[in-house]
Amino acid sequence: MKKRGISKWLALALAVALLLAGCGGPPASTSSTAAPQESKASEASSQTEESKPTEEPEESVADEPKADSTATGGTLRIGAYVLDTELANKNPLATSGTFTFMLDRIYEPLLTYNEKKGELEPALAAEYEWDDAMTELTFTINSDAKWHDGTAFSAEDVAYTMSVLKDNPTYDQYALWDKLSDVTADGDKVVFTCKESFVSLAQYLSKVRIVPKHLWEKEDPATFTNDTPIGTGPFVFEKYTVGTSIEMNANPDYWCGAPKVDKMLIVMYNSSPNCTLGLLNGEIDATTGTIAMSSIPEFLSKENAKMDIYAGLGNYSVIMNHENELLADPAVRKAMAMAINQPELISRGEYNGVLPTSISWLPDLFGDYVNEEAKNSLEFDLEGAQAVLEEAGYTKGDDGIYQKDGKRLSFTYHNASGAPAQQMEAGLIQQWLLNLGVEIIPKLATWPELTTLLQTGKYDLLQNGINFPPDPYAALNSCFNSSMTAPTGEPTPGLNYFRYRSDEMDALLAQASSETDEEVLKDLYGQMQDLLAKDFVFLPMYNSSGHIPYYDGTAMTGWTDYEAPVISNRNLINVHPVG
Amino acid sequence: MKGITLKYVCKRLLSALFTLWVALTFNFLLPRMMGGDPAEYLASQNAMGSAEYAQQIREQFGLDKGILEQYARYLGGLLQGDLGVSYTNFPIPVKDIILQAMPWTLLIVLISTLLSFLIAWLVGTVAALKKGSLFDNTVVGVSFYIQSVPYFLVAMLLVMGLGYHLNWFPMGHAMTPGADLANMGALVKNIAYHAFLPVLSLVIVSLAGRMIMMRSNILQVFSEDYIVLAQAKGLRRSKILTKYALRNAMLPSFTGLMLSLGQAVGGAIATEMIFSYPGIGLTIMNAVLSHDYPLVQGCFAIIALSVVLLNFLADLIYPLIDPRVSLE
Repeated sequence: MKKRGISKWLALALAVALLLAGCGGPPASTSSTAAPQESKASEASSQTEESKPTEEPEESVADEPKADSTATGGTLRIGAYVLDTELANKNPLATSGTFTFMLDRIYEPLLTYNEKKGELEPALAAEYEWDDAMTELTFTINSDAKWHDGTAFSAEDVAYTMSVLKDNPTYDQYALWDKLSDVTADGDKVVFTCKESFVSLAQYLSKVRIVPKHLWEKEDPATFTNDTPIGTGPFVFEKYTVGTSIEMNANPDYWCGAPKVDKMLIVMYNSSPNCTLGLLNGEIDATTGTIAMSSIPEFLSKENAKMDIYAGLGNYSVIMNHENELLADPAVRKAMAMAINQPELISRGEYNGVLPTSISWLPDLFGDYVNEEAKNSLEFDLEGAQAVLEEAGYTKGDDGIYQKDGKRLSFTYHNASGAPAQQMEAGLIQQWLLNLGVEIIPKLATWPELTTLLQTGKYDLLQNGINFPPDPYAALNSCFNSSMTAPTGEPTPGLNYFRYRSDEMDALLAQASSETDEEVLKDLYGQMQDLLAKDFVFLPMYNSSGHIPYYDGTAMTGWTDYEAPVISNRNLINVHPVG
Repeated sequence: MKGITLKYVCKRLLSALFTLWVALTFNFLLPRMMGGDPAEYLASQNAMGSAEYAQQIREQFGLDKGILEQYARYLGGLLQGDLGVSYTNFPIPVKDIILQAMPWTLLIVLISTLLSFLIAWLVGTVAALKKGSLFDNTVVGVSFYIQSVPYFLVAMLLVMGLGYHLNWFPMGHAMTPGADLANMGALVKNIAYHAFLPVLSLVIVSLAGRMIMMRSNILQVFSEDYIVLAQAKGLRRSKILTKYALRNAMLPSFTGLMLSLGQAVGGAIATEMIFSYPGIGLTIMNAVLSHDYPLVQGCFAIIALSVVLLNFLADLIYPLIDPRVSLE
């Protein structure tokens, strides 16, 4: 059944692609050698007549001989689904309403989190060291780093940034100052002192962009909108044109090596379909992650088209309310989880552009902490699922719905309105649950309404995503600790919307919270994942993965020289023109 | 200025102000009735659902205050021209966000509204004068056909056809990304080139209804007794048209024009999305989706204000073009 489903969709995708190709579109089949120049030229003419005489400075390739023999110069064009309102504030410390892709090219944290390797890498800190009690974390700053205005980066900047977070709690989104007592700069070192051991502090600091003290201390950070951002990153902000583009220049003094292109042009699109069309038309070399999922097959049929897919810090699932008396029965939850055809959900709903959410919750970006066995323990098995229900004493009624003691397995199912993919996926899941013998009453709500429903527990089943920081402890603790939930009707203090309560989980979390030994921690997290896989806390859907479409070898290449996402700073500095 | 009395103006002004107040109050209430708490939403997205973070956000935005106090602050702010600060884009003032988007919206929506009325008036009049001719039949037939095609389809066909496949026009944006347009002439040319398809799409879909309305207005006026009398007295057809018929036939259309101009500031969401064109429409939609109360309120306040204002202007102009409107 699964196979037939996929082949049907492939055939449809192919038909669409053929249809489009047959409609006399731009030459999708130009030979690989001629392609770069051709597509550039046709793109220029498609944009405006004016840009014809002023040929892009592609010719200046030989201007600056670099150490290696790859071509340099040119403009890297990245498409982004971004609105003008997100460009109004360029404050890298604001936690919402900013354009993070741009800010991450300009500003850097002490350490960056490499989602591909699942580990921290040096950025503005060259190295770091914990004391034995894990209450004092000392960073040695990166002495090669410089602010875009030429001022040297210093440990003072780090201490200053942390003081801004302390004074403005809304910038301190993970409430780090609840656990920190002091941050002091000392020469080329910054010392973070914690109130008690805080093993994952370094991971959290990968989310804090460091700002320049010498410029910021003249402003009020609470309301500063930072119109000319000055950072340490590989690209320097040059110009923003409303509704059109953001121009950035290469930072020749970047500590990790100057970018091989001269410029990066971020082309702004205010809808995902428009961004996708720009990508298909070759207007851009890549996007920041936007692509209409249904266009993935067509995109991949283009020459040199590739997708970089990697795990992200969020999981979509159908959240089950364990306070519902029927969902409180582990057999019901297990049967429902087994009845969901996750591979088909991901291929039909997301065109294989995302990775699955695992029944053990932790996505692959947590590297060695991921319990592979628990992760792969769930398999689609409809008959097996029905057997689980029957073993637990449920019988199928005349209406095809399972029941026990006069109670039918009937649940409300909330999902987001105005989100076509979410709605389509809800339809698939609801059908699978119906196939199992569970009745579903579909309901729609806006995203903020869904949040309120989750917090107050007024739902049975609810399809939504949950975001967490790059810290396995927080990812597990905030979602599954019984202290992070509340009885139905009262708001939850954390993300345990499942209203999952397990003494065993609480004990493991308590033990992990003060544990400092890597191996022991790994074992504890492993046990927690085993527990989740056994308790069937939610119906897994997919991880809110990065899925970056890019053309490798058409105009630009060098995207994957380093093992990290293609649009990470480490790879963007290597991207260079073909030839 | 025969016909306009101070009493008439005052009456109209008071009624306009009352309408505005009602609109602004609904404006305040409606977003709050959507359900869902913006602070909790921001906290669940960014801060592990932390209740403390949500509380800090509430305090920052004054959402911890009572609803009446929030209402008083909102009206007080409006009187001073202060539309508040956006939640999702804190600390950007709502006014700045609107001012940034508005010129683009006005550019394409105003031009397309005026063009569409102009063309509708011309073609509708000609069709009415040549009633039953091939031209008239074609105009009416095509109009009914276009009228029944949804806007987004027209816009997408233009993007796919003239933009994607033929490459005659850009598929989106207000100007060429990354182009150096220091020269004023080049800039204007570039903007006009990019505005062409959005304007064309808006004109196409709004044209039909207005054209048919103008045509039937003229036909109706031509069947009135005074026109028949004028014809019987041997007046030339062109004189009847310009001197008597047109003025009366234009009246309903004029009201339509004023209303359309007032609504222009509301932007065109579908146009902005399909052509990736900057403007106020998408700003409003996203503000509603993320429960950004001040931004929703600010945008709708501007729309309410301009609709009320243009209606008020229409009320003032109407007695001048149609003396039958009683002023007493």
